[in-house]
Amino acid sequence: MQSIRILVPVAFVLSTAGVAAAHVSLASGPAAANKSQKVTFGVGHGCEGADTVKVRVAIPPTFTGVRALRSDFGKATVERDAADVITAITWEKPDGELLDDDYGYYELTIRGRTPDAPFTRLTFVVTQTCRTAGGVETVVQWDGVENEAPELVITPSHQAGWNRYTVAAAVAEEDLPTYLGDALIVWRGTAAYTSNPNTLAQIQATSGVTVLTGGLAANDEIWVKY
Amino acid sequence: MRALLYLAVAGALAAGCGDNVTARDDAAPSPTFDAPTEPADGPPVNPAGPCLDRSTDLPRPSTTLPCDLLPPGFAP
Repeated sequence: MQSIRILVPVAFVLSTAGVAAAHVSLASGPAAANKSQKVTFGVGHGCEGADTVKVRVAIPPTFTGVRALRSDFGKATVERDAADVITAITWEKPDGELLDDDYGYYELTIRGRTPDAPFTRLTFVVTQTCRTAGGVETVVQWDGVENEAPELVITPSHQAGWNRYTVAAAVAEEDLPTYLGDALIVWRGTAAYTSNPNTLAQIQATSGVTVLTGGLAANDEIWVKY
Repeated sequence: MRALLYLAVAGALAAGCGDNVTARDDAAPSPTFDAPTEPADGPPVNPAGPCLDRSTDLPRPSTTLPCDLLPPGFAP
């Protein structure tokens, strides 16, 4: 049986499938900077009723020392460049395991070292291939252009207690919960930030202390307690 | 300018974040709960009452920032 390959734009997928939450996401959450760790992608949906049969994850050059873990979804194969560096990993479901409908959830895990770049996001371009029981294939690109690409949030590596950082690049106020949401409190001079509403009330009630607003600027020195 | 602000706040908070060297270890603890009363001619009254204040009650948090949330060097 001959398969038909279709590249489906994001608007078409989201509007016709009615599953706005459908995407390939980072199931493992934020990752600490400059640390070898596992990163897991979650494939929450297939394509308009068709099961997922193949997922390819392109590896950003700054994510190094990559290893692929075998998934229940299927075996992983790798692509390498001329320098023998892994540039992409593809998991493929074995023949005969195709679901007759889109009810599967899959997790695909890699291990590698995150860049030493806290307060940034690392984009992974993912290509998802689905196939109907009749053999029709659909390919969806999660690349940040056609569809939202999974982004790994890189947080500062830290220890329990006080940690001091010099912020390399500006951090917008709305991104503070993303990068520092798990901190007890963050200080820049006499201004403090917390995601905890009770601690925020204490900040507001303390004389001489202000709530940190406007985000962080490059080269700001901050104290963070975890 | 920021350093001056920093010092001013540190001074303001110093009193609240000092150590406890002046606290007396031998001070008698004050009663911390309402014990059931025991009449001389009978058993305790309502010994399992539901509204007793126990000494194990957690203290309420401070309305202002506690010292352990102030960064190093912020308080003397």
